[in-house]
Amino acid sequence: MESMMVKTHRRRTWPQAAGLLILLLIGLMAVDLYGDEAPGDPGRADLITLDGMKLLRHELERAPVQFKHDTHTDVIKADGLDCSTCHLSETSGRLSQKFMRLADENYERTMEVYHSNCIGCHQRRLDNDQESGPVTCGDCHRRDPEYTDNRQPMGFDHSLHARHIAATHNKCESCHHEILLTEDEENEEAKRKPSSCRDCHLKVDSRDVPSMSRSAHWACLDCHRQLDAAGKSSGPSRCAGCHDAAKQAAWKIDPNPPRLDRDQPDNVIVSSGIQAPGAHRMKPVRFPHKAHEGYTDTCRACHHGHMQSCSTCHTLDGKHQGAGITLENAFHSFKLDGTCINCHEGSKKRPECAGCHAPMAQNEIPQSACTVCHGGDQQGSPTPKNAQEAEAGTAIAAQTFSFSPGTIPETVLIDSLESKYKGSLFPHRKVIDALLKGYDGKPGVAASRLAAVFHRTNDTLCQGCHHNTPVGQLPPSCTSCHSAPFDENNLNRPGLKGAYHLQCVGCHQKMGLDNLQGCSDCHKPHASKE
Amino acid sequence: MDRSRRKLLKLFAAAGATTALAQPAQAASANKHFDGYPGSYGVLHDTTRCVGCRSCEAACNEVNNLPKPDKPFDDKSVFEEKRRTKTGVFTVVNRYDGVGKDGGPVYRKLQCNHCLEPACGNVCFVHAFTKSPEGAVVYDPSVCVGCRYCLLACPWSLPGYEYDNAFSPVVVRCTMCYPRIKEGKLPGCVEACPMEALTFGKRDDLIKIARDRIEKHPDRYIDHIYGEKEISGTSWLYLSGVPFDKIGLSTHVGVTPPPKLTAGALGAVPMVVGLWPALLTGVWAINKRKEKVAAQEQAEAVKTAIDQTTTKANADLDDYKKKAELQKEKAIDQAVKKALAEAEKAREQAEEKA
Repeated sequence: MESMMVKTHRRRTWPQAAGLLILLLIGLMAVDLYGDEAPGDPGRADLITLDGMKLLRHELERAPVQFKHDTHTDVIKADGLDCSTCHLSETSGRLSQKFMRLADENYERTMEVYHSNCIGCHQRRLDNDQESGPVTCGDCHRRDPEYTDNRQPMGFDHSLHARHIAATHNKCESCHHEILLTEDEENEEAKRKPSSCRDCHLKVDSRDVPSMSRSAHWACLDCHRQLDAAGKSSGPSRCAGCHDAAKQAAWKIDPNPPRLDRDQPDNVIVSSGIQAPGAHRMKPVRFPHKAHEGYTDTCRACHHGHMQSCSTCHTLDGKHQGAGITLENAFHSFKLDGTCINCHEGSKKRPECAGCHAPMAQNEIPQSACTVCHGGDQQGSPTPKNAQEAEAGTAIAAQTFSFSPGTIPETVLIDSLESKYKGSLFPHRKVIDALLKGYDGKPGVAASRLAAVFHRTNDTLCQGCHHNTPVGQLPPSCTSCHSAPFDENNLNRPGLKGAYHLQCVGCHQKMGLDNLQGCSDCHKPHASKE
Repeated sequence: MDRSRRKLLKLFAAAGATTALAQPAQAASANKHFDGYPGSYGVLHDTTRCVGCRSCEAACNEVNNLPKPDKPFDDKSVFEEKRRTKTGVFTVVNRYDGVGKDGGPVYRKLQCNHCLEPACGNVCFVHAFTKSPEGAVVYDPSVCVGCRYCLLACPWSLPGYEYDNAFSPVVVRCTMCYPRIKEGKLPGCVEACPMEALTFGKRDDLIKIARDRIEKHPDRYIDHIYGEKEISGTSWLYLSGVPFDKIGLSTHVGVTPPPKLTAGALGAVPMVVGLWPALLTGVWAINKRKEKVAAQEQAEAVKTAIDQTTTKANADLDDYKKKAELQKEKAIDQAVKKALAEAEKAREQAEEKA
């Protein structure tokens, strides 16, 4: 096409070539300028979508602006300016979290604040030949959002909290300001038991208390900035520092942080707390609280931010403070996050557990498991607090297992179905050892407290493969139940071949063992077929 | 010209009205829903169990006496491409890489789904396809004329065609091992599957089993049985742990039975074929008769006119003749009188001279 044009309009070749060259150069410059923000950007943690004006009961006239907070922070810092360039000071001395205003008066005023300040600054920078942002409507108000928001939620875990305790030299009141406010006899209690931020700071602003998000940005950022200004080591003051997934993953994590001491018991007797004469209830559960502090990253994993006992809000009948969730459901529901049973059930998905547990029906607990928690070693009514702590010194006893030689077969030759392939020599002892002592660096049943508590006897372990075998009985041969496949009277029960393969292959898959790649990994081809 | 065009439009309108009047009856008959033959068989393919061993392919090849493939059945390199059923291959297992829950592959077997209301049978004008009460869609190659409408009609493009057979090509597809089912045996693939990723049984039971598995393992399965409702149901059913479109099972086939999609249009065919000729013939006959009557009337009018004209002309002629004769007689009389007068005058003159 171009060569044709050159041929037919030979005289115009030169200006055309020059024009093309200029276009190409502009293109290259554009690529160079915006290269770091090219499409395919995985998303940003610092995006603020400027659509808060919707709250002023106005539909936005144009598409909301995606504001890159960190980019602006970096530019301002490079210019030797600080946050007050964009954020005004409130009477309390804190910086307003709004842009260049303390409050939203009305739609027009807020729009004017953005337009005059954003465009004004961008234009000034352009006039000074500095790198700048858009000054035309469509470059900010993009109909197709330019970036995706991948901001991760932020919160303290035990490890981060421990780091802050160390950084503040054990001065809880640096953050737990409620300690400073209480001056009466509760002071001592409050000092001993600082609450969680989320206890008062809710998801949204309440009348006197700013939301968790707003107060955290004030408290954390102010402190970090002050430390920064003093030239001391501090935490992040850019959005990505706290909210970017990669940054979060790079945090120094202490795998064994010191225990958070707020006077909590080591063991708790969990009961409905109701002493009705003659009412027969499940026996109270002795809950090893201290151990579970190590199983979770945060207190709010169970306590939702209110450091109270579960039965305060979750009663037998359910009440408003507990979102209508009854005590029974708060511990036993599979549908709710953070219940005992859901957390325990989730553990079964670990590779070292899933081999046996994946084939079993999910979200079903055998009745025999009830007494593992409701064991009955405490008497019906809860004991008084002090006595409880005295009594609850020991947790539920873990089991020990022993499969001494002679009690189980070392190997089992499975050859009843020999046809195309020879039978398979099943290393029975090796499999039990893997379950018991672990494999590939994964813990075995004996090393996991949860497993050791719930697997009550040797037989429990055997039931992983020898399912449906009653406890205390010698497991019958697989052929006792499994024969020809697809019996109309029991269609869902696998045939013998299916049972073997589902059991063995399924377990290897779920346990993350990739040593089964083909038939010949277990079977030698039949000699007659070769 | 114009008049005849208007006539034609009127005819079409009339025919259209007739067809439209027949529609309510059509809709009423389409309201029936076919849930498959009671007690018919099917196969449940649980893709979460499939390990891609290709035993099903080998067994299918063996029980159907199909030609040996280029690559042996334990060759895993075939998974590098997505294969289709074709001549000599009634079923294939495809591997979908990286779609599994743990990022691993998922295997899915592909064969005729044996629809409850098969589209292939719907389009076949020689009725080569029959949905048997056992569940299999049975193909009769002896009546097949090779139009290959079935290949186009299948929502999953599953039937193949013997393009390499020059003289008697037929459609090739899974038979659900219909002959073996009749003998009380399992389909070849099902029998061979070591993982029981294929379960053979009554379709109703299979749906219950599938529901039971989803219920007991909500994290393992997508809460959907593919084939239970798709194009009103298929005898092959699928369970999956990942969205079905990720393992090549279209989620856009809808739930409408294929016959219903074409029933309206095709239902009008007998109407058009049966009624239009009669109607058009009738209209043609009426017109013809009209034309005939008109021609007759015209002929009569012409005859009368001609007769009248002739009579009048004859009368006029007679008048003329009479007048002419009278004039002639008068002229003769006058001539005679004149001659007589001249003779008399000459005689008198002669007398005078004389």
